Amino acid sequence: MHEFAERLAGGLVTVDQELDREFEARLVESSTLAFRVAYGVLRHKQDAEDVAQEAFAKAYRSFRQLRDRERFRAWLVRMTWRLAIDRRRGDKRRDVREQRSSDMDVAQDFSPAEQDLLARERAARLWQAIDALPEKLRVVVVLAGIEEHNLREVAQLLDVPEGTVKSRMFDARQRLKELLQWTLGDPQTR
Amino acid sequence: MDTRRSADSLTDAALDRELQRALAVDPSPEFVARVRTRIASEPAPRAWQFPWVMSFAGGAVVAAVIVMAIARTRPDRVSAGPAPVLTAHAIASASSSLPSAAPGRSVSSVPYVASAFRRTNSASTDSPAEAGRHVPETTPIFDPRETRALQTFIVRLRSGDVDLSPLLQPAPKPPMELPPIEDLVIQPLSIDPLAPPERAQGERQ
Repeated sequence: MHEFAERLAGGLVTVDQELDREFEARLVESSTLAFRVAYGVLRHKQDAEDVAQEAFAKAYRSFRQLRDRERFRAWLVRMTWRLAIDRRRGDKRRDVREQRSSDMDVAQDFSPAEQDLLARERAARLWQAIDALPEKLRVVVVLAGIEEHNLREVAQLLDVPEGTVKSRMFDARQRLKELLQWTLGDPQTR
Repeated sequence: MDTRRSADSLTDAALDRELQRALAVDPSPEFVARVRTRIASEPAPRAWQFPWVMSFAGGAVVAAVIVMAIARTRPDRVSAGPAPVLTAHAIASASSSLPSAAPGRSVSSVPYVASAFRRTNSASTDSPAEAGRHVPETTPIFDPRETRALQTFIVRLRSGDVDLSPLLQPAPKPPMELPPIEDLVIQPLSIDPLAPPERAQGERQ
């Protein structure tokens, strides 16, 4: 009886350890993805890390249903996006923080050679244009801009047909071009 | 001129490069470590994550089963309906149990409708289809014995066993018995003359 209990306990520990190992692997490979999704909404590093951390905590609680890699990444992206949107809506000091973060983060993210006034202005106008997009188009643009996801990968992450992503991406590009036509040019043509 | 040309040349590739550059932000090096710390404080993943939708659906099913069970155990209760009203009902439904008045002629074939006031919630159950439905028990106003007696009386009246024609004919007026008329004798009225009393007051002295 005692041996049986020990074997049962050992089996449970083995299962838990296996789950923990799998989750660790998902965390390492998806941490940047979750952070960038949150950053695409919040554009503040600390807030984006908090939101991504909360999304990972929720993912861990439901990890038995999310052991498949693709399913985990899709669930994580949607959960992170939703949490970031909720946080952004609930933050009354959003406008002040955005102004502060845009000044700070742009300076951090660009190389020293590009840390000039023009680069900051271009980035600020780009985010302003992205914010003006409807949410369905915005999430497609952000995911396509993260880690160079192609349309099929974006479709998998959003769990929508690839044709839908293609259509939304086309609409988003057209709107961004209209908004940025006189602001952004191809840097390589300069 | 050069600036104008560069602005017009905003292509998909250029836009994608701008987007990728804007989103090429990495988390802080301690981000993963902080997530690990957070996960360590979380309870282990449960074996079964029962979605709240399933819980709600299960609760609704259980509630429905309980309601149905209660409804089955109380068949005499009428769940909903207007307040009881007094409606007239034919009492001919009970006439089928009466003896037939004449050979070959059933009582139920007699186009007879009598009415009585009865306190009930249900509609008329004259049709055979409705007769099978459940009719809640009601308290008749009339005594059933009186009802049966009345129905028997009517049936016998129709069959001719009872003749009410004498009751319908006007009865002759009975002669009034008067006492014999006698002459009224009135005795003559006699009044004695008044005599003054002796030594009455007011005598002249």
